[in-house]
Amino acid sequence: MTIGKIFAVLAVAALAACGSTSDTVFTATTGSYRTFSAGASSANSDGCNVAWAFNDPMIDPFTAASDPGLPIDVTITGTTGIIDLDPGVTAVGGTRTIAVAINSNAISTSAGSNWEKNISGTDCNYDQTVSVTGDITANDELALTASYTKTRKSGTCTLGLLYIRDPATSAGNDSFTSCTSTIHFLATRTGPLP
Amino acid sequence: MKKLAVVVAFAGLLAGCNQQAVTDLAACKVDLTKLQAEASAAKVAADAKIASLEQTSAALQAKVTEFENAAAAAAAEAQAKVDAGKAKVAAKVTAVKKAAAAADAVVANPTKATTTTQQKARSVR
Repeated sequence: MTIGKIFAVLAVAALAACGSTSDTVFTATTGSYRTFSAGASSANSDGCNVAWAFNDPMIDPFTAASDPGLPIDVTITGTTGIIDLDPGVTAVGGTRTIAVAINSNAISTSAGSNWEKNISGTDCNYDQTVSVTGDITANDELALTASYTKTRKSGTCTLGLLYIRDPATSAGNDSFTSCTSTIHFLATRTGPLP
Repeated sequence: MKKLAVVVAFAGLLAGCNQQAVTDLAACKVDLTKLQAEASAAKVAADAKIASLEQTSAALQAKVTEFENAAAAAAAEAQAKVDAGKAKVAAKVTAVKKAAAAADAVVANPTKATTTTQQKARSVR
């Protein structure tokens, strides 16, 4: 074998190696996932002040009290899945869960949640829609971006109930009528669904 | 002849009397005109006085109404302030009672305090 042929073989082998790593497809399995490392996707994109509620521990933005994070439920069936960001919360009307499609490692929303939420013990009702996109970054590990839209429907929905802040000033917003948030967070499986 | 003299004398008297009467009448007319002018001037003055008094009366009445309204507004404002003060005090009392009840609840059940942040998180998610 000549020197030239040897170089040619090595070049082909190197090219083949380059392609092999990007073909790794990870698997997310059904279960309860812990969320963490949450934040606004861009400056002032968390108008509804939602991101803190996806951290673990969660740090109350007004009182600085901390508490263990809330899990999310993920159900995977082949190339489709259901993500429930609010397990256990009663939907007054509509659909609380988000239907997703899984293509290789990519996650996209096929039908977002769209439901009416009531703040327990109050007359505050608001409509909420959420969609998610993201990736499966390792087995049972997700990197998700959630887009929220909240619109007050009835009752008195004030600062203390919704914890909404003015994105421009970070001051509490007492006259909530609607808001949007685009946030990102990581999620890792902690066990089966409860 | 005597009779003639008497007649002439009588005629003379009559003529004299008539002359005096004409003179008196003229003087009376002058006086009457004067009095009429004075009366007319007095009436004009009296009318002007009446109009002036009526204007003063109207102005005073307006002033009285203004004072009455101001007094009513001041009374209403004072009452509103008293009511607001009462409401404030009542709200303060309620808030203090609420805070005391919450503090008691936390002391009685510490796990309840730790769920508050989670409840808030559920409400914003």
